[in-house]
Amino acid sequence: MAKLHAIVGAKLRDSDYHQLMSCSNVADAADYLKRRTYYSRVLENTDTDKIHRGILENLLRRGFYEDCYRITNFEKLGDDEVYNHIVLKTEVDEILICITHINAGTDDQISTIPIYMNRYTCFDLMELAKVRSFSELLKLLAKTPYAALLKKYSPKAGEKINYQACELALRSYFYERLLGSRTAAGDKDIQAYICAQIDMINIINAYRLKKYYYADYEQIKSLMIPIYRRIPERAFDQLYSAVDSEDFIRILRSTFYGRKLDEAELMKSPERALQKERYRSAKRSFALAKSPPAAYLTYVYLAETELKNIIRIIEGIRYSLPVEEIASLLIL
Amino acid sequence: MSSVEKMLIAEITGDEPMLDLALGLISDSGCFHMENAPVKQNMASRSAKGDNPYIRQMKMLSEIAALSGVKYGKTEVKESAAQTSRWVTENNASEEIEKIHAEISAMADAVQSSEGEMAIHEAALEQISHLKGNADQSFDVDFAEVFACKNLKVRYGRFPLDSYERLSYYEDKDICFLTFGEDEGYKYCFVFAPVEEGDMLDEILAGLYFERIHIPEFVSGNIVESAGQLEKDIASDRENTEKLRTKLARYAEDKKDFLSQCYTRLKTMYDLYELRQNALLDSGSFYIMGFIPESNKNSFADPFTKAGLAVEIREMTKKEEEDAPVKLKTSRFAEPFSMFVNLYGVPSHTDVNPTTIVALTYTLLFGIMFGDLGQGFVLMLLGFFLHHKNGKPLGRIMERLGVSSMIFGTLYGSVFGVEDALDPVYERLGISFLPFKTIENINTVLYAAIGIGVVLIIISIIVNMIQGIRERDWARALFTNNGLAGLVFYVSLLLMLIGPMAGIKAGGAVYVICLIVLPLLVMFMHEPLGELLSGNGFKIHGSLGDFIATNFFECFEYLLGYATNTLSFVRVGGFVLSHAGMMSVVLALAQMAGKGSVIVMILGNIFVMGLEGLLSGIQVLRLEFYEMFSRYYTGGGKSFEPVRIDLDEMIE
Repeated sequence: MAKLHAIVGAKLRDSDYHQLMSCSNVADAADYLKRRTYYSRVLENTDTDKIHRGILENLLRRGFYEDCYRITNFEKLGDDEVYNHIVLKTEVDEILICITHINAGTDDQISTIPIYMNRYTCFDLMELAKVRSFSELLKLLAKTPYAALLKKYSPKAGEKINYQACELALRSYFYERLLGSRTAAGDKDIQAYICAQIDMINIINAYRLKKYYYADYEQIKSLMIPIYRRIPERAFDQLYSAVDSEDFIRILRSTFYGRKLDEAELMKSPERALQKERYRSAKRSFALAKSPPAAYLTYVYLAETELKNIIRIIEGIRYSLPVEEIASLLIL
Repeated sequence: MSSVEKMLIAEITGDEPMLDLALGLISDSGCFHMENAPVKQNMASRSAKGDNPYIRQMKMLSEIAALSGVKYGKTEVKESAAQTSRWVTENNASEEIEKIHAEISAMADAVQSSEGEMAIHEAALEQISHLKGNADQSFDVDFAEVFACKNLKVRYGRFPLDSYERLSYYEDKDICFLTFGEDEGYKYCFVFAPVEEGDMLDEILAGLYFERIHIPEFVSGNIVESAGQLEKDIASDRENTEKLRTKLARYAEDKKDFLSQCYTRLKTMYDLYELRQNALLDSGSFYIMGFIPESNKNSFADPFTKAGLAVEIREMTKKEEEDAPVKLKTSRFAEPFSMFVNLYGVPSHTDVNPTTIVALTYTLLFGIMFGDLGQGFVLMLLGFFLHHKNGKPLGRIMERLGVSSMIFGTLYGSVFGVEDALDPVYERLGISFLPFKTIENINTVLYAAIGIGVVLIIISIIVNMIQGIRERDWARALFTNNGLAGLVFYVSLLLMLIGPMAGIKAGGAVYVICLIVLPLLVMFMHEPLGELLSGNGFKIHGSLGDFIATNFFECFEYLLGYATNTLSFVRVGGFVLSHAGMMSVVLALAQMAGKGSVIVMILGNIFVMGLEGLLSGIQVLRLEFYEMFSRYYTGGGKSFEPVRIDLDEMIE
């Protein structure tokens, strides 16, 4: 616990974000991270003068996994799903990325795949990067639980893979494994945290479907993770039944989570407001965590969010976005 | 109490052609603080400043110094402006400087070009050095042959290690990776592919963040041959560069005397010309105005009058007095302490000059806190050395502090931390009350420290009252917390609280009402009372509510201030004890060290002197600034800076 608090204590502050956003190029941002932040360890052997954005992002991502490894030492903790969930999450994420590439007909997953996780995953990530069709994917995953989950979504000839259905199946599997783990089953705090995160993910996804795809109740309901916690299922049903995205926000305001949202942020960007609340809720859970597994679980989310923030900043700098615009993309 | 020197206004006028002569005399006088000449009414005045005609030469001289590393001798030339100008013309200085500048620039270009060659060869060697690999795998093929392959696409460069781990992904492609050395998170390698797969190769390499390195065409042979050739080239480049550098240095050294003379004269003319910006021209005449100290009144005008210039020296007007620069008049003892005063702010013309107070109190407090005969002596020697090496005031301050430390060290009987070193001396002299053993008299030390604090605070309040009276600021002198009301309140309260310990009985209703409550009320009402005495009637600024709220909290702050400022002086006693405590630790360590005790004592003394000397210095400065200056000193003045030629400043 103390180790986790020490690591979180060294994470980026508002002033660091501000300094990073003020950098005029990627090399300056990399140099700031190397000299002034916790990321100096990851970048210590790197010449930041001419660093490529992609290399920097890969290094930071690798640093994130290495931190998780240092904290838990995956191998020693063996099959404990809570400590091991980062491996499970990597597997799910990479399978979904692979599906995206199959649907898009692209083949460059190799450049971003976390190859250093290969020794922990239950299938070969290098082979996953070579997969070009759903049948090849099922063949690769044959000896893993993922094959059974995905088999029923095999597309007919000439059709695209149903990504949403695959995502729902994989994410539901991930959260069920996590909630069903020995550690989580005996820890109410962990359960509450995981379920609250699922609630927030469902709300965010439902809002997106309502706003951008004008999805109806049935469509939304079929794509949500069927686990409920703070908001009863009927309240979720009301949200899914909203006439449009504005009606969705109106109903959301009366729910447990809606009351916590920052009104100004909600008016500006409801999606961002929901993501920020998800982040704040994880921060609260981390501060109040009573057991090491609970603290670790929330730490991973906080560290991952910080990593995403840094990557957003680096991309913003690369594409010369104004500081205000980059700032509006951050989840803090 | 030291004060500030009285200033007078000096106005110089003459015919326009004599302006340079006048400026030269001003610089020679060493006592003229020049101001912008005010434009007078009904005068068609214009500034005398144009483009400085010496800037080109000065820039060239700076470049010559930067390129050749030559340092100009900076002896001041004692000659008139006209003589200087004549010297420059007679010696063709401008043309000569231009010629030397051109020569040196050409030589510096040659050096740079040779260095550039060397850098290219070094970079090439660095690039191919990664191909040496190890005994099993080194690149034993002629580079020229490799790059001449017609059916192969060849790339040389480096991968981030992260990408290197992904290479096995391309095993089934017609690509061959030959990897060699590793450096700064990168792996260096040669990549080969059939020429028809060239586009695919570049696409894959881009995805792996491959950074291509171009091996220069002059690199030929295999790795061993080419590395050997490059090493020879680098050695030859180095030798050539060295030769060119020596040639440049010799040439610059030959010209040094002439350049130094040019520099001194041209810099003088440049600076004098810059002074023109403060002079006014009107109908063929010039007008210059500035301040001179009263002590220079008699000697200042003579050289000007002899040269046929008119000088008028007069008293300052009220308005001019406000803008007048300040020249502190201090004794030799206090003079270096003006560094601390200026750090806080130069005193204004109406301010009390606090330098002597600072000099006395700083020396006293430091001596008390750092009392040790031996360490004080070392500090004094160190100060003496610094003083004579660079003439900076810090060295002179250290001399004084060292003596003070020695005096108190003698009283404490402490020599390099040995607290009983002087016991036999005092015994022989028959002085029984000395040495004063600080560690055995902790309460006395702490009470004495507070007592010193009380005295210094009272002195500060009295100085503030004197200052208030001088400025006819009655509210400041009489009604504020640092005026008469504050003094009565502070002393009365102290007498009531501490008096009984000394057998002084102070108290009772009348005492409390007259000497504590009444002064407090006066402090509460200091603003309207001040207005009343200034003849503006009993006036409250703002609403009554605001007035009560503001003054209530201000009075509360005053009360806290008296308590905290007084207790703040406990640190003086604290440092006396900590010094003795730290040195007792050093002594104990020395005893444990056996044969090495001398070394432990020396190192311990150095450590204590460094740490505690610095801390004591900072803490005393803090007491000066916060507990004392805040009561009587504002320091909003401007320092007296007579016109002078600055030969150290280079014109870039």
